[in-house]
Amino acid sequence: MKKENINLSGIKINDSITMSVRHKRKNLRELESLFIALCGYSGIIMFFLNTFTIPFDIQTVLIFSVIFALLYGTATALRGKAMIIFPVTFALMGFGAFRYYSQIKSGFCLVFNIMYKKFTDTGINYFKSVSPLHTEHNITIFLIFAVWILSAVIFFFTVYRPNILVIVAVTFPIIEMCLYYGIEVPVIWTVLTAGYWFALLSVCTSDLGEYYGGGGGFTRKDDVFFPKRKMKFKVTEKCGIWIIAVSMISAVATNIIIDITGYERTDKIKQQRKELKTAINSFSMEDFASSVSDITESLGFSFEYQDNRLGKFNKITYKGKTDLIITLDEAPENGLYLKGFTASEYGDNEWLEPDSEKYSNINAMFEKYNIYPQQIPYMTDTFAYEKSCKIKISSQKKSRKYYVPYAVVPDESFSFIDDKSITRNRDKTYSFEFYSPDIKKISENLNLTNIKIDLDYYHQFTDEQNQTIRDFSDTYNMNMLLSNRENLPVLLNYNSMMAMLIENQYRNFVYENYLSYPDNDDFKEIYNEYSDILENAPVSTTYKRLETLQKIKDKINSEVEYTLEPGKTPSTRDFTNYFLLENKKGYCVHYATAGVMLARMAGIPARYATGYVSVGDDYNESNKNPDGSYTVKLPDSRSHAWAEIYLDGYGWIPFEFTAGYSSLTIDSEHPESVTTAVTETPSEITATTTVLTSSSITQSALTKNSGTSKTGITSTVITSLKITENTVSSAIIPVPDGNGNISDSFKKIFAVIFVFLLIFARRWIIIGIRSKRLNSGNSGKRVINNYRYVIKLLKYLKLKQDNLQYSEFSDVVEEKLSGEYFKEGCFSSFSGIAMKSAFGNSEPTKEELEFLSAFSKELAGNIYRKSNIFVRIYLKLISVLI
Amino acid sequence: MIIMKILFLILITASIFFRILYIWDFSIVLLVISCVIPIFLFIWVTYLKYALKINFSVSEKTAEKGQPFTVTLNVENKSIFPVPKAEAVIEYQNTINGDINTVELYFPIQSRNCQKIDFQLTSKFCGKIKIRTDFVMIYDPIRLFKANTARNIQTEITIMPAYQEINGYISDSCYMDEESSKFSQTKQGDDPSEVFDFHEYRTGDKPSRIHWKLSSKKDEFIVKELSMPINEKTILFADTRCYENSEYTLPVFDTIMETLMSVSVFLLENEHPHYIISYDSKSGKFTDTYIDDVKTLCNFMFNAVNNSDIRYNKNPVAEFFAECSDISCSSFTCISHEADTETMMYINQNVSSGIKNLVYVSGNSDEKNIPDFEEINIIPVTAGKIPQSVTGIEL
Repeated sequence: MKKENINLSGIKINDSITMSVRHKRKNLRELESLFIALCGYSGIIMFFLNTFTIPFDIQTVLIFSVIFALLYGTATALRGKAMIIFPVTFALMGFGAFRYYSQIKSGFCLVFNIMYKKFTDTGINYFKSVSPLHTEHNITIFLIFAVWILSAVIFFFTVYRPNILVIVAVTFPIIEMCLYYGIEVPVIWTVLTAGYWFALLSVCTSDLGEYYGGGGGFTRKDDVFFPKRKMKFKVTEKCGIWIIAVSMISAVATNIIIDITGYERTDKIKQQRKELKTAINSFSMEDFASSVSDITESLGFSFEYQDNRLGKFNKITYKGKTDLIITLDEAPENGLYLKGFTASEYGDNEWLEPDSEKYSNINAMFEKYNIYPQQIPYMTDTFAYEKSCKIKISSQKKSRKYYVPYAVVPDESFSFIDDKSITRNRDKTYSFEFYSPDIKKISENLNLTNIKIDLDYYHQFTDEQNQTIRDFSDTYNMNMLLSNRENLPVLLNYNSMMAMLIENQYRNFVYENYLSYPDNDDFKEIYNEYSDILENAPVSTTYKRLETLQKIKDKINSEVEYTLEPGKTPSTRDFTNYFLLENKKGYCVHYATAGVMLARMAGIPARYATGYVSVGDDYNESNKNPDGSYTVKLPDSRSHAWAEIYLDGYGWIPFEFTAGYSSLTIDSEHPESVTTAVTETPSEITATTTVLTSSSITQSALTKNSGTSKTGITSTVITSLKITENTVSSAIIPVPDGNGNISDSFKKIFAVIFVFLLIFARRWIIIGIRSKRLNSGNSGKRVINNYRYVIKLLKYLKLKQDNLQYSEFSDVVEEKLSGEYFKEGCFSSFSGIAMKSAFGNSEPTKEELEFLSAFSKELAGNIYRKSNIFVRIYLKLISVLI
Repeated sequence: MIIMKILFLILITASIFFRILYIWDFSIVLLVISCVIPIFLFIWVTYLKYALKINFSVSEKTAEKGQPFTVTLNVENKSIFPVPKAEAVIEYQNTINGDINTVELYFPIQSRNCQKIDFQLTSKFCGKIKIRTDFVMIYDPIRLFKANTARNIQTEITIMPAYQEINGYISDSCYMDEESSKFSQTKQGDDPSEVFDFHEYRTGDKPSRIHWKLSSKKDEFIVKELSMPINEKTILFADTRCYENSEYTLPVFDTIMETLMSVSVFLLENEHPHYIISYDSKSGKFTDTYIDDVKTLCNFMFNAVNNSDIRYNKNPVAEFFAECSDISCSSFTCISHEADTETMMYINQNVSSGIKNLVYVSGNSDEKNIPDFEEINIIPVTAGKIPQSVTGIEL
């Protein structure tokens, strides 16, 4: 029927569109389609037969395969009445299946046993009670039936009604199982099957939404003209053959190149495989970000995840990968801390950097005088420094974070950020000169005294310098008074003077900002537990301060156990409280956090730092270079967290709270084992250690070290295990090589994909049924179905008919929705037509049916348009209303 | 399309994982194929973008109103790659009202072949029909990539106005003009300068009309019939302004052109050559065209339809008479959508003619407010109802 398309321009386009070509070619669409089906058919059969060694009568199966291919290929190519072959053969084969049921069953079990043995690489049968008699015969019968089903499905859903989903659902599982279990598959046949899938995908995609019925030519829907599926000029199947060809050529070319070049998997890929398997096996939805970071890192690119959350992980695992390579011109006398991150704000079980607004004034002072707290220690040129050390750090990590030693000497290549870190160009290898702080010497000599700055008396500085000092004093109301170190002659050295002036002001800032801790019940409990140390803790001098800190450390170490598997902190609990008072298990992060909090409670400014630590044992002959320098590889197991405490007149120093470490000396590796509780005496500490063994960790003898410093501070060092490089932590279950098992995580991913496919399939079915009901069939039923659909839509908009009369309901709907969802009066008309059709004698006219259809579409469309993205997803995929 | 891209990204990502986890060669082959196929398809689409040649063609430059005319979309593909589905968005409009309509056409494109896609349009109104492609989008087989080609390819066809039979009459006093050098081919007169015909002597014939030479040859008296010089100073003035952006734009314009055509044909049928004055937007001037045969009329109508400007914002009658005032003719007929006092005053003051007509074309019969003017015959015409309205027009 011709359709009018009259519009304001008065131009109408007629329904009939014709297409002609200059070079007429034979219509080979059916043959091309058959070719694609044959590719898939032969691909999957040959894939199966080449993957598994199955005893069967190859000739019989081949003959039947050919017969089925010819039968179904012919039927689907001829279409029409030839399709009767399907139900006829189904009936025949159904009868045959009934007749040969036991042989088919036996054959299936035998074949499955063969497959199972290959998958699991064992000699165990899955079906144990299968009779070994007539194996070949039973398998042949089974294979004939399997090939029959396969041919029917492939030819029907490739030639007659192309459908990629059904084909993939039938043919993919067997290939997937082989890949899942990591068995070798025949490349060419597998690629042929994959190429077949792509070809069918292209056929389905090209013909999507087109009309099946009728002959060739075009069909029209409103102002859109589509070619009908049978149009002889279509090139859909030809494109599918192109896809298969490209796939096969690529596969063959790749195979040839592999053969010619003798390509083998590199060690790097093998290593990556190991890491990826480890990352996948340890994948956890709870530690999602960290798990993803591990996976991406194993793939070779770093998704640097600075996780400052506390207590979110059950355990710590190490890959044994080298993170930093450091070269020092000489072995440091004291432990080497390389700091990468500093935090001062603690809250919600997380360490955060302070708000930049807090730094604005103090930063202005730093910038004006170009002196930062990180410089003060070496600028004041104290007893602590006799000799500088040079270090070159080469980062093996993908991220560009800098790890900085303490008391670094600034140079032009970098600048300081606040009082915490540095910035420089983004090199992966960088060098520093630094003075390794000797805490012992500092604590011995760091006494403060107030001095009066009398510039007129000493005449050491220039007029300009004098003015600067006076201005500084005036600005900060110092009245020319300076809190200075006893042995620091600042009045003779301008740099020292300025450094101390800055330190004086910075000290105020530190006491304002680095003493805070949460004022809640959790911390009150902690205070009560440690009140014997914290109450009136002596912190007025450096010596007393360090003594207090040592007491805190000793008490912590006596109360808690070191372990890499402390478990998570419950989300309702405070991290520090849970560690110190309940769980009593943790690793360096726990110790450092607790130490910082307790130090602050004692009145000692403290903050949290992370980075890497290098221990004394690292510097030995094996690491020594010919020029006397040492090159040490720091693995990920050397990542560490510690506390920084502030010494008035000096600056920040690292203080070690973690069991097995000391701020004075670090000459052991931190234990990877569980330590039992340590009982301590004021002057010495004894400890016993139990060790969990693991096949991947070698164990050396435990040694215990204890010593007493001159200042009365006891340090305890526990040497436990020596970890060899590239050793996986005991927390990881080893996975054997050479077996392509994929972890449960992939199962989860497949499950998610399967659920999505189900959702889309459900939607497709519902939409198809609804479309059929609304647009075809008996006109009276169409009206009713349209009405029901609109009622559903109104229900979604919270308008229910309930006990209202139809006319009343219509009024309510008009009142609430007209103007917004549809034009005024439309629902009344809609309702009227529906009532007339349902209760009247007349059939609805064509215009009325079109009106109903248009109304329901308009309403659905407006509901969709007015919804946000989440509601739209719900409407489309969950309720399938639209 | 976006779904396909996401699927392929997932496939490539899965292939990368697979490459690492699966130790056999198939993994590298799969990765290669996953990468090669999108690259190949991209090359496919990009190459086709430049290899396709698409244009429109029409068999005739003009078509009749209400009759279908064929427009052909020619597609030439010299490459070896076919296109499983191309999407052409075609716009067509009557340039008079500018209302654009769109049709989408999906079609396959064969490799190494030329295709013609014929579709038929019918226009209810006269005017210039412009057909252009907004774009032709080509896709690769899996619809990963697409490319736009054939933007803004266009063609035009002019729909000529039809003429209607009108029962007008030509005033005798205006029909004959003794000064004219053109003579009627159907009517005899009294002008001795041209012989109309001969007949045998009948009682009552004037002896002065006997053609003695012929009579001597024929042995009977042959009388000359003299010709009638006809008046050619009949002027039709076409004012093609009409509604803008209205549902009446085209009907009114169509009616104006058809009225003009019908009146002109009527005059020609009655051997009355005449002038048509109209504003040519192409030249920006008023033109007066002497119409003495149908061919000239058709050429004029073709140009008028193509070059009319319905949006001419000045009063063309006023503009015209500002340039040339005092026209003397036997009859002056203005066909316009406007029937305001100003127009009629201009006609009245500047036209010396015994017959002055104003054919007022309106969109619907409800439009009124036509001022009366004594010396001008106002003939209202409703769009689409020319014969009924113009019956009895005196020219």
